[in-house]
Amino acid sequence: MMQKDQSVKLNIQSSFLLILCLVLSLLDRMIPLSFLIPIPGIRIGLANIVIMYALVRVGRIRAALISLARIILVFLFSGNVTAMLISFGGAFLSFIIMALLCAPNQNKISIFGISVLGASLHNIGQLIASSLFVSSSVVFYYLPFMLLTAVVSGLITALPVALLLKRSDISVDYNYI
Amino acid sequence: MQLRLKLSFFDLLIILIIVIIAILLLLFTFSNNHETLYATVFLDGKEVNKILLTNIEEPIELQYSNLGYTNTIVAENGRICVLSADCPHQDCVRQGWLSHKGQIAVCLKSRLMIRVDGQNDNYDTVVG
Repeated sequence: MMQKDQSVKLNIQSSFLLILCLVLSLLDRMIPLSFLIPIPGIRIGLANIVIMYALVRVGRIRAALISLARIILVFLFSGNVTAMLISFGGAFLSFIIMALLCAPNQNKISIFGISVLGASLHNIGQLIASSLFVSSSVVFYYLPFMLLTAVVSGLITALPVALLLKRSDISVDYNYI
Repeated sequence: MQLRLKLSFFDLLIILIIVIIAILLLLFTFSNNHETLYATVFLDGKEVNKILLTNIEEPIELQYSNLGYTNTIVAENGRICVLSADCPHQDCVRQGWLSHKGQIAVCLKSRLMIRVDGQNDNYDTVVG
């Protein structure tokens, strides 16, 4: 059946995207951005490239699952529970906004805007999660620097997605949920 | 589903809003809050006066004498110091202006101490 074939195809694509997301996530933990910007754990969220592409390519539910699965897998690789919970807080907030803005008939905000908003909310979510962890609001002093970094990294990570989407033809009308 | 790929006005608006929020937050955290800054004067370890250092229009001058030595204290808006004293070492005068929570000026001869306290406390520095 068409429906079943499509579903299988999307699942396989999602698996590949998950692996890509995982590798990019591990890779960008290795990039020592802390030398340039003195915030602990500051990253160029390369994994968001995959999430945004997945939002368009395989639909929002599968993209959410890719995001969740990536967080769990990175935890299995690194063993850091705190990082996982904080990462989950950031990804949760960020994904909600990105999913809302990737609605079918939305053409006011481009992929760059979605990426910047996603990156900013990811940072805000991480700060909220870490403030709950240490039960104090001192962490929010990092917010201005993280927001400025988020704008730049959001624009950078949107670029590959824009280039990909421009050159591929995903104008087929999947049943996107 | 097709996403818009070209930068639009709304994108720039979003970026502008975020940058403005970041700058406002920076200004807010680095502004020195003079709210509820006060200085306590002690003689022989006992509190003799409490001076509110916010909203002082004209400098307040006070004199304290103890154990044969006299200290003159001046309080201005947001800061206080021992202006002059007749003690031999002048440690209290050399302390200069006190304007932050926790700063102390002590005169060893007259057993006078000024201590600055406050409610709002900004962090001193950020270590990455």
